[in-house]
Amino acid sequence: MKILQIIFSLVLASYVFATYGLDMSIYQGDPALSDFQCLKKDGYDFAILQAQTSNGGYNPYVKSQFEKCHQAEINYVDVYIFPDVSKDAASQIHTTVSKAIGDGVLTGKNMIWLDIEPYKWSSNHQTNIDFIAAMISECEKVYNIKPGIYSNWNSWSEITGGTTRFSSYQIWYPHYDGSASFSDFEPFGGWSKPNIKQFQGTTSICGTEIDKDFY
Amino acid sequence: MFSYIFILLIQIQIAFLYHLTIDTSNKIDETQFNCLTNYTNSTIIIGGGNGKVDPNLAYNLDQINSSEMMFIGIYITPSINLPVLDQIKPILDVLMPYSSLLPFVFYNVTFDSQNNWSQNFSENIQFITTLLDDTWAYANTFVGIYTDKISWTKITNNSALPDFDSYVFLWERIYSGSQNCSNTSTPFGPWNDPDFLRYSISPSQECNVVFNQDLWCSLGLDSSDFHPFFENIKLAKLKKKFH
Repeated sequence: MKILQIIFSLVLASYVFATYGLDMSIYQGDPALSDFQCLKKDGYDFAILQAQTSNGGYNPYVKSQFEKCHQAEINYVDVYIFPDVSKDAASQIHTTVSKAIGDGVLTGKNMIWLDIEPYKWSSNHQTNIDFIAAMISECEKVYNIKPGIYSNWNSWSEITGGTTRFSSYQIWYPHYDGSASFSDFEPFGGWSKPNIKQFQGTTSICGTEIDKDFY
Repeated sequence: MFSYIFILLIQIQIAFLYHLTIDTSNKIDETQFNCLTNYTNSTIIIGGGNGKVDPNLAYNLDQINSSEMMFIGIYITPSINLPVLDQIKPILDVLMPYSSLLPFVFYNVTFDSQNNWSQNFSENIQFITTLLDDTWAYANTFVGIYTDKISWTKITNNSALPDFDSYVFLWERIYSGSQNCSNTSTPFGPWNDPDFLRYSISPSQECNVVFNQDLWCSLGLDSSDFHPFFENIKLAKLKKKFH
């Protein structure tokens, strides 16, 4: 009975102490400040905003999204970059990161996440590993903060063959099971403990749409 | 990738047999879906999104899953002003849990929304090709285009989509008022015949649901010729109803 109580307490604690967040992209456009205020009120305390879109362009709304997050007191705001594998890795990072710094979206205190999911990657794992390495190297050169990686066991295996080369970087993984819990995490790429989980995809809430995250 | 399967489907003798289907983006509950099943012989296309995820999409998918409705797919109105994956992924992500129900994603390529298109034919063709490629790659569904001859010509200069490898289904807007798949403006673009037709300009209403009226022209296929994909869409029900 005592064991059950302990287990129950631990499970409850994981929900009580969970920090909920959102991520959004160019798709959401420029949501109203009231949308972000509603999200804050609903318990979303961090955000990860798309700085580079799936065709390698800069998200024209990221500055506004970022500013409104802060105005709504969602104070922990990172950005993510969707790589365009048809372009040079270092150049696109340099361009996007520089612009994000210029826009005040990268402040020297928040993080960049590299979105590594199946989309036009080479069938050659080493080519992809080298591409990721080049992006990371440029991130660290231009921004001086280690980036994180967004991927999961399926995507990582497909794209890199499961390399463990980047296991020293933080991992944000998607698994749309609707559960704000790391209990579903399947170790991959040298990662045994995740940092953030994207647990639910496109969700209409507070007048906009978000993906739901937690840590 | 599955081009050989589509070629097989095209070569199958297409009877004049068609059946009614409907399309709507309205919110429909389970009772209404079950009521509509009798009207449409179980096939429906629902709204997926127009610049944003259709607010009724998740609800409607849930109800379809619980109902007797067979389902065909969703339609999306794309915009050349947004990157392809960023605009389709939020919608397709909603669809993923119901992927066994979903054979088709249709893209609305009509000149009704002029601002969604470039004045440059090549840009539009490349955009459409990327839409189809990315949908196929991301969601592994069949892809189709909702259009008419005039729109297709205005947007793509009557392109045959030479860079898209697989078959793209045609859902033709023709407004003939006639339940007959022979009333068509094909051939145009890459199509010789329509696969689906929206034949009536006037919405209809049954079971307290307002919808548009369509035909599924390419029905009549023998079940043994179905791609395994179709086997995931309640094939047994289809056979029971139509054969």
